[in-house]
Amino acid sequence: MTIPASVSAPNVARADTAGYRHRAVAALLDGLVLYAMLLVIFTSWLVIAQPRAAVQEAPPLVNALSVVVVGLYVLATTAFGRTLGMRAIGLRIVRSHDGAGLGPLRVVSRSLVLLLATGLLLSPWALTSKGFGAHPYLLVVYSLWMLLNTKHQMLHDQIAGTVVIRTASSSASRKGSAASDPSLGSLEPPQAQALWEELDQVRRRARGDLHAASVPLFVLGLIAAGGALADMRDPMSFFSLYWAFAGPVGLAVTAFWFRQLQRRQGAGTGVGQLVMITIFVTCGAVVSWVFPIGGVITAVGFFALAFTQRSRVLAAAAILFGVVTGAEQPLHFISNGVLNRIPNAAAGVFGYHGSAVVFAVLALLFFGAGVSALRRERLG
Amino acid sequence: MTENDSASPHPASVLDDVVHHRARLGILTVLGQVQTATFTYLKSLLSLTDGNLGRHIEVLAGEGLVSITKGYENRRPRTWVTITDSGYAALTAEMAVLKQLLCQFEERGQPPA
Repeated sequence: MTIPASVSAPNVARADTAGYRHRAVAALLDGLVLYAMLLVIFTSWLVIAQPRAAVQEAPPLVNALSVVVVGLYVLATTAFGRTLGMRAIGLRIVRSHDGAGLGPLRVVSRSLVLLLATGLLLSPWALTSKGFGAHPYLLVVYSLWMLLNTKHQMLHDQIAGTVVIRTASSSASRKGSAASDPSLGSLEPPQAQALWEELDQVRRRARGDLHAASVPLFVLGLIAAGGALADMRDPMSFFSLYWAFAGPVGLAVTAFWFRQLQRRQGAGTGVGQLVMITIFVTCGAVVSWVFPIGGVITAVGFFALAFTQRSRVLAAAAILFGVVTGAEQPLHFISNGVLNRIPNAAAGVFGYHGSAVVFAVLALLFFGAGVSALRRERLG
Repeated sequence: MTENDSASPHPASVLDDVVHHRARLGILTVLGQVQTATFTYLKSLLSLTDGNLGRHIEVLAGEGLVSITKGYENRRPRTWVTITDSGYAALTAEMAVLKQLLCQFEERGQPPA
């Protein structure tokens, strides 16, 4: 069996480079992270300084801090070979001529050109107190640059001599290399059959030890139960505040739980992807904290987790959670609907806390699904 | 070790092959699911002896299919084995071969109608 140790092709081919769609999604995710960070800076300035003026204009210090934060983010993530968004999509920045990692010179030049270009495009608006991203259309125009050349390079790629490749596709193209192992052919039918069955059993037991479905289902149950409790509290603001924190905290708890499982039993799924999901969901929650969509963002996070863990049960649970919370959180759509349909019967049970009942039912459903998933995982 | 395996034919080849595949594919199959596992976990799940498992893991690491990390956890030495990208590729390829083999047997085994 001969397998090349690395993929570094002599010259990166167009097929390996990331196309417009992937780079756009990665850029949107990075934009989300940066927007959340700038929002935190601006909001903490508002809270600390409490400016009197009706139209608040950030002082140069706050603007400078924002520029430094953005610059450090771009520089640091480029130095690691991929931004957070690229890591999530499975992209990597490499040297265009040999596909190797970037040296300090390329890291600095790529980051500087990118920052200068985006800064110049945004600056006429950024300077007039409208804040960052007032005219993101210009960035879209800038990104069209990559359609003009063969390797999907943007201006900063071309100047620094870099190219963005898809790591996922390059590993897929390697699959053929170990195509046939001649010694396997020497197996007799019963031996091959026994080997197959044994491997299948081992695979299922290892898969069960991940607890990929049960742990997140229990956490979803806890989140729903917490939602029921939050609705029992009188001020409505507490209910919306709860949903702003539910997703990030829930995903972090899941990551911690996975990590503990991995420690205790000596095997488990890596939490790297889950940490990424938690970061993006946290940023999403920060950016949209004034809107009543915290529950939907939570659901998106758990759906992404289900995708990475390849768990259908969890995916279905996340969708159900998203639909119910999306309808219930802003308008109490479900509980009000039931109340209006059968007023006499429901009023006694629902009272003024219809959402509490809805979320309690949801919590029971998820706990039940979690227990049944756990049983299946134990059986292997 | 790798060179030995490929160059000189083993004396008790067929039976040894089965044992060899069982351990090697077993390790890769487990890691294909859990990505990273301790030596102890692999040992208990695959019911192999210390020496046996150690040898197979060394062979796999020699071929670049797994990577080995040694460290301490609560002052006890621990060995972590992680599957590499090539390891995933090899696992997929070998399982495909095995499945193909089984399909061939089934087709041949069917009585003519």
